[in-house]
Amino acid sequence: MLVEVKNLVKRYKDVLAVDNVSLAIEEGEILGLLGPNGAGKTTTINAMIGLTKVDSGEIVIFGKNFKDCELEIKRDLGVVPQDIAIFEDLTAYENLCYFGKLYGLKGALLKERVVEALEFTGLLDRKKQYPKKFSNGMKRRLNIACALVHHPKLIIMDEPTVGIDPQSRNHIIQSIKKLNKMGSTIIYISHYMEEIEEICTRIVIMDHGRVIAKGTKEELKALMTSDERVVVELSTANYTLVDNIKKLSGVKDAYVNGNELTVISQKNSKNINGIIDHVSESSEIISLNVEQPSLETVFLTLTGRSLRD
Amino acid sequence: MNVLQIAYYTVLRYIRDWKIFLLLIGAPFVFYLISVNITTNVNQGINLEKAKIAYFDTDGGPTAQQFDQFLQTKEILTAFDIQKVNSLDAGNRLVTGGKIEALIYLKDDFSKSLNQGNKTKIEIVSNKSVSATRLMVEGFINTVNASSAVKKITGDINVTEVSSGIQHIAVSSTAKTFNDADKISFIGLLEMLGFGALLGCFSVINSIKKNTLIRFNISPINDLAYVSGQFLGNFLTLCPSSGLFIAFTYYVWGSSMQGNILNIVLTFLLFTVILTALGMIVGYLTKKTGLGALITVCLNVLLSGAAFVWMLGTAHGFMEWIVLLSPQYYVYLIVKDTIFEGFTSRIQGSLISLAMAATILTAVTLFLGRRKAV
Repeated sequence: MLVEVKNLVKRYKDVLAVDNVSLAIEEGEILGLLGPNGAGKTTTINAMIGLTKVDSGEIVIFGKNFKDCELEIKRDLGVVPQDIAIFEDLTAYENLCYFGKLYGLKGALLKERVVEALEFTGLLDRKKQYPKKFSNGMKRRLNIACALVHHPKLIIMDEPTVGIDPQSRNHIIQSIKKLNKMGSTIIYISHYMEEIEEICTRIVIMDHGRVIAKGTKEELKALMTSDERVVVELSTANYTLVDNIKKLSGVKDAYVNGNELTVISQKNSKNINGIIDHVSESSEIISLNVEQPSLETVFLTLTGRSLRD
Repeated sequence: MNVLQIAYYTVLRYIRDWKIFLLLIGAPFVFYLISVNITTNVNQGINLEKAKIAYFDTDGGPTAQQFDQFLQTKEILTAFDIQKVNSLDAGNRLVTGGKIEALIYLKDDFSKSLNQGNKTKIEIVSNKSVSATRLMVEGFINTVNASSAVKKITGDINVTEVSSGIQHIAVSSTAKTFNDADKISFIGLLEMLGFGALLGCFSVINSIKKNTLIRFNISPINDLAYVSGQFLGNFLTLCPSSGLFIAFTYYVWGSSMQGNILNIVLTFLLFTVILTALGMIVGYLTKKTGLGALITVCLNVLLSGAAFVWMLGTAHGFMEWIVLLSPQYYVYLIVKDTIFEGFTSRIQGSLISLAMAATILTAVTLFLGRRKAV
C-alpha cells in the first residue's frame, strides 16, 4: 500500500468533519474522491499533507508514519491546491524554480525538471511570461506544474479543473492520464463526475465526514438496485403495443410519448430481445437506448443529494 | 539555505512591483529631497564675523596668565580674532584707525591687587558703545571673582569634574544645529519610514489570501524557514528606505556626528527590524488587508506622535508611557545625542531598548508565523 489512512477523526468544535475515515491507496492507481461540499474530502486530504492536525487516527504514507516522518514524506508528495497558488510577479519559469528549490532541487537538475514540467503542461513557450498575463486555464496548468517539478511519487489534486475552458480541461485530464502511465499514484478530488469516471481506477464516495462507498466505477454501479430503462424511438407508436409490452416478463411499466416508447423493467430482467421483437412487429425502430445507472445516479442514491448541492 | 532563497525571491517580487518601489523608495526619496531643502535652508546658520581685538598685558602675573589662557580657549577664538600688541599706543592706534574693535589692557598691578584683596580693573578701549569684548571680559571677571570668593571661604579650589547641573551644550563649527524645523522633518520622515511596516503586514496577508502560503506549508521545509525567509526579504526590501534616511541624516548633520555614523546605521537597522516585525505581527493577527493596514497605520501614527509630543515637551500622562514604547523616540534620542555629543549612556540605553524591542518582536513574529494556515 502506498497510502493507508486508518480511523481518521477530526472535529471542529461541535462539527464532526471526518468521522472514522479509513482509506487505502495502491501504488499506480488514480483514486477519485467524490463528495458534496462539506463531505470531509478536503479535511481528509489536508490531514494527509500535514495542514490539519487530526484528533485521532493514523496516516501511513510510503510505509512511514506521517507524524514521525513528516518532512521525509512531504519530499515525495505533490499537491495541486484547489485555489491557484502561484506568484504572479514571478515568471512561470521562476515560479517552478522557486518551488523546485523548496524540494531540494538545484543546478542542472533543477533546470531540467523545470523545463520538463513546463513542457508537460504545455507552457514551455510561455516560460518567460508572468502568470498575471495568463488565462485561467494556463494558471491552472502552472499550478499543476508546480506540484510536479520534483517528480513526486504521490500527487494529490484538489479540483484542478475548476473554472477553466474545455480545451485546458482536456489538456489537464490527458496530462493526468499520462502521469499515471508514467507511474505516479494520484488522488483526484473533483465535482465533475465525468472526469472521475474517465480517469479514476477507483472511487471513494464521502458524505457527512464518512466513507459511504468505495470501489471501481463498475462495482459502484453494481450497488444500484434501481430499474433499467429502455427508450425506443419508433416510426409509429400505439397503445396496443404498450399493452403487449407490459405483459413481458420483468416489465414494470411502459408508456409512449409521441413516437418514443419507454419501458421500465426490473434490474437484470434480460427482456430486451422480447421488447425488440414486439416493437418490430408493428413498427420500425429508429433508435434504441438502454440506460445504465450512471455514477451520478449512484451518488444521488447514496447521498440523497446531487454532487453540486 | 532555504531561508536565503525565500528571502531572495521575496525581494525579487517586491522589486518587480512598481507600486511598492514607489511607496518605499520613490516617495521617501522625494520627501527627503524636500526636507533636505528645508533643513539646509534653515541650517545655513549665521556666518559670524569674528570680532578683531587686541590685548596688551603689562602685568604678567598669575591672574594675567590665567586671562591669557582664557583668551586662547577654543570658544573665545571661535568669536574673536585676537592679537597681542607691544604697547598701549600701538593698541590705541589700531582702535582709532578702525583696524580692531577693542583693546584690552591689563595694568601692571593687576595680579598683585587681586592677591591683596583689592579692587582692580581690566580696561577696554573701544570705538563702539556696545561690544562683545565687554561681555567676554565680564565672563572672565566673574570667574575670577567667584574663585576668589570660594578661596576665601574654603581655601584652595580643586575642580575635578563638571557639575551635573551644567547642561552640555554642543557648538557646531558649521553652525548646523538640530532646531525645531529639523525636529519636525525628522519625526515626519521617521513616521514615513514607519509606513514600511505595511510591507510586512501585506506580505503576510497576501500569502494567505493568494494561497501561496499553502505551498510552503506542504513543502518539506522547516516551519521556521518560510517565516524567516519572508522576514529577511521584507527587512532587506525596507533597508534602502532606511539607507536613504541614513544618507539624509549624514548629509544634513554629518559634520556634527564626530564619526559616529555606525551608531546611526545600527539604529536604523534595528528600527527596520522593528518595523518589519510589527507589520508582520499585525498581518498574522488580523489576516485582513483593510484591518491590518488600519492598525499598522494607527500604530505608526501613535508611536511617531508620542515621540513628537515628547520632543515638543508636551507629553503627559498616557503619552509618557507610550513614549517609552515608541521606537521613533529612541531613534530620535540616538540621532540627537550623536549629533550633539549628548550623553553616551543615553545613546547606549536607547540602543539597548531598540535591540530589546527588535528581539522580542522578531521572536513573536517567528512564533506566529510558524502556525499552519488551516
